Amino acid sequence: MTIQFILLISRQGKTRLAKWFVPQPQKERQKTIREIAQLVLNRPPKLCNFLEWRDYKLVFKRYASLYFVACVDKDDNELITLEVIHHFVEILDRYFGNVCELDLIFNFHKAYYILDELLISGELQESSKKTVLRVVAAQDQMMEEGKDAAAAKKTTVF
Amino acid sequence: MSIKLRELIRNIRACKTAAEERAVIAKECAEIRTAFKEEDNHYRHRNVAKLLFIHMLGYPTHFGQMECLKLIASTKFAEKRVGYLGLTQLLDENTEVLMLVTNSVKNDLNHPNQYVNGLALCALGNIGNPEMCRALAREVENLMGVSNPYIRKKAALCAMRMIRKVEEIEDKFNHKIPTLLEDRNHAVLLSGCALLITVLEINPSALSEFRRYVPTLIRALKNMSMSGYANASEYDIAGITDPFLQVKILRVLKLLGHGSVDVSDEMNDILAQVATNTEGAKNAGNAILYECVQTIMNIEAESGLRVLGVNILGRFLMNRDNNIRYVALTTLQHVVTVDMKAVQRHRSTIVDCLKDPDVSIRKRALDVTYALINEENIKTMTKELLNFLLMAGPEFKEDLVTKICLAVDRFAPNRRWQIDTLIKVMCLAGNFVQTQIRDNFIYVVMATPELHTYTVHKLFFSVKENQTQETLIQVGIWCLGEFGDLLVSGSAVGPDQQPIKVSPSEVLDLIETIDRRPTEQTIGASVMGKTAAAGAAGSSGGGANSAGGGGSGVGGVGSAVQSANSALVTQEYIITTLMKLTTRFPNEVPRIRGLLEKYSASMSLEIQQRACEYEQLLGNTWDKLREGILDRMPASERAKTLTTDRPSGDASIDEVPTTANHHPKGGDLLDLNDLLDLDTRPAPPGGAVLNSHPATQTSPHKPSTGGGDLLDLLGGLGGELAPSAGAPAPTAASGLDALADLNLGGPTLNSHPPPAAAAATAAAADAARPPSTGGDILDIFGGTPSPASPPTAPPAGGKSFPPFTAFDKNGLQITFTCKQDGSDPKRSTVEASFVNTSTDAMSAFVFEAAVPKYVTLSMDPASASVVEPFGLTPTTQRISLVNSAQGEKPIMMKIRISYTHKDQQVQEFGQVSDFPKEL
Repeated sequence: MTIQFILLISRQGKTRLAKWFVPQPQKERQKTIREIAQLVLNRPPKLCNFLEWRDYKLVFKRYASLYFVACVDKDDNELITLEVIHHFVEILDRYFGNVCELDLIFNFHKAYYILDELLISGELQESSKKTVLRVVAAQDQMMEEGKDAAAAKKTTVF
Repeated sequence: MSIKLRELIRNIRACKTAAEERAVIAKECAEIRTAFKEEDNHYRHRNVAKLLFIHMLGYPTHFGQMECLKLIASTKFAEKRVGYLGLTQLLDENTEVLMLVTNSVKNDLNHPNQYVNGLALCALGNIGNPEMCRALAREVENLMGVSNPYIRKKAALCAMRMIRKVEEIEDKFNHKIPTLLEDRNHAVLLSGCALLITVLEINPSALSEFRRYVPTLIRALKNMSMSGYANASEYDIAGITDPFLQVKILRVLKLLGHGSVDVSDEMNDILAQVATNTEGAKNAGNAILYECVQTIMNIEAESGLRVLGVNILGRFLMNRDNNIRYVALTTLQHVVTVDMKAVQRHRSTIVDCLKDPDVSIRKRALDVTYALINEENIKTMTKELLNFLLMAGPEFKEDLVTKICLAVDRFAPNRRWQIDTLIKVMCLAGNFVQTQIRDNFIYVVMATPELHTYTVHKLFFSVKENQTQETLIQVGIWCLGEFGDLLVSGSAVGPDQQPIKVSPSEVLDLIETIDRRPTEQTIGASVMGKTAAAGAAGSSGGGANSAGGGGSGVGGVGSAVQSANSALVTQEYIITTLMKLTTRFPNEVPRIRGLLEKYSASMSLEIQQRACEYEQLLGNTWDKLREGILDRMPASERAKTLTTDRPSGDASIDEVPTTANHHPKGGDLLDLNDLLDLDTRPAPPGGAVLNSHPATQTSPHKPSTGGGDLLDLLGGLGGELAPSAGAPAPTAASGLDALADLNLGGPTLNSHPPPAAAAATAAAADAARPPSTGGDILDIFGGTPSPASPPTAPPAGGKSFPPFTAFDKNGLQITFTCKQDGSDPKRSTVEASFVNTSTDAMSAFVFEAAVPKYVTLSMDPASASVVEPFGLTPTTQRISLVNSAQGEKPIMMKIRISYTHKDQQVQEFGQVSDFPKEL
């Protein structure tokens, strides 16, 4: 039950997040993203959230202007994968407070940090939203502390 | 001065064109490079963060890789965090510089801060390469045992990746798994299960070691599904406690229960509990139910539990949510192989899903429907599928057509129905029929001599009605060429007892119409063709008396220059058919010659060359040989290996235009109602029957070479000789020819299909040979249908055994048909037949066999090095065996099979011990 990669694609076909758990050269990645964006964006609404793609399955769901796509093995549980996507979305929502696409564009690195607390090697590592939010907040705090030290030298870094 | 990340993003977003964006990024990249070169430590992590954004847009960022390494080595957490993010995003496990980070990661794994450990574990778990895994396995192993669950869960998943990358360190972590499974922290248990699943997938022999943790897992599952669970609120999703963990545990149980009745018994109760108590109103609940059904179907569950599982799927099928229906169909496809009967109950619901607007669902439904087809329901199922074929969109048609044809091939109750159905498919969707299926149809027709007259009539009228389906036209044309004489002989009788009359000129008219169908053609090509044709006509001496026919042909020559390949193929069929018809319609030779002539100017090299050759063949020098050359194609070896044991069915023509008159709407043959009314009405009793053989229908299944072919022979004799009484000579000749190709048990005839002339003699000799078989043939000659089957006695020259399956895996099925030598019981031959039921060919196919010392073995080369897909044409190979210990020890055989499938090398081993004891 392993996720091969996770993509966030905007309705315009722009990549907002791409996390790969299988090695692929950059060129291939771009090609794959384009191909998948085509498939997912052109799919009529109200059909099922699964697409068979190469030897895998794409499980995707649209949240407002963003498509969340997870690529899983053929024999994986598609329904729980949808639930993983939703889990991620809810955490993003609580972290940013009513998340929107702009939040994810300007704070893309934070989205990655959250994802890293959620998945390792394509496997879910934490099923409690509270825990994820707590550890991410703690690490943000550690960064801020470093920044305060830097601010003392009159420079802001981000 | 370096700008902020936020500013860069804003600048990029402000770009109106792609060129503008490229310019902004190029400028920024240049600045970042300079900063890197100047070893600007202060802004390094901001620059790497910018690169991450640029990377996500698809621009090259390799120059940032080394900077990530530097950030990771930093002591500041903020820099480390960006560094690790950069590492996992900008690099992957194949990047060479990754090795340089090993030491930093090692330090961070031993760092006192848990979040620093976490960053290192996460990076290692996401992109660790085999060398790193080997170097850091010990650290990860230690971290799996620490008290902090945040570290334990990450370490467990890290270990999972390590054993995926480096199999030999698999057992290094095994001893840690039990404590992970006992862990009360959900995340740790979840990670522990993921690790265990990977261990079991890589090394199934570890199964027995971990089976004793089944009660632990059951307890965890039970706790969660109980109301009032302590942590319920933290893990609640739509009223269900931690569906992620529940699904994971169910998956582990699936692996542990598979193959063990005792362990499956142990989990029986909890599975029943989960299956009945889980609320299926929301996706999370259905995810658990879905996983639970999969577990039930994979373990050695008792039948009650299975019924429960299939019922859940039945409920899923009725669900209005597309996702749920989709997973139901996916699972049913798997369940079909386990419990066909249970799935059959939901057949109509499944068939209904073929209508779904969602292509994903339609595809799944088609697969399940196909898997549900068997001998009993083939007629009704085919009817339903044909119904859908009418409505299906073009992208779905090809798949559907292929599935229908495969099912018909496998389960058709008789040949008549098989041919009828295939013709109907071609009428409805002949443009979607793959060439292999077309060829297979032709083989079926060839192998069924008693239906030749019927088939050629049916196709003639079908093509006359419908000239839009390319495959229909191609097989129609082929049949006209082969059996044109049967069509015009007037020996066929319609449903009204009137003989059906078709004149040779009508046949040629039809061919000409097809040839002149409007096709995409440029005027230029047409003009060019005309000039060339005129030139050809002028230069050929023999063209003088065919000027009339030639004239009419010139107009159509442009159609040879077509873009569509299939149209070219049709032309190839036409030209050969025309040539064949020269011997079948001797009076029409001048017209045919005219039609043929224009092809000698065809733009297609193949057609042009053929046309010129045929022109030569029409010359006087070939007069004596021509008939032999153009004779009916003998039923090939391939045709014989088709299901020869199938009764041919009724050969009467019951749906032909009332009088075969000339107006185009002459028949209701292709009336839509009729199309769907597949042979459901009984044949008119005793009326209009050309030849029907109760003998062939009632004869028991006797698939040995001798017996099976004998049935065909009987059919062949009846079918061909009955009309020949009043028909011209060629019919009789071809009747004998057909007879010659069939095997009376004489191995020489079988292995080398002789040329027509020799065959006739041999066949005559065979037919004259008295008692055992000859007697029955004479019965047929006499016209008294013999009530029971003759060929129950073994054919002279040996004893045959029923075929058995020697090997069946991954779509490759190997069947052995053994035959004992009549004179020396120690000797036997085995006919190995390789059938590939997958959708891709198996090429470079090599079959090897080894036998014990008391047996000697020799093998002939295989009939082909490729095994064709869809189970269409088996590849065969003959093996000769001498068992010196015959009667004492049975024959055993070890086999090795290697082939290339979907570009992958496959090698399989097997042991065959089902040989008949007598051998």
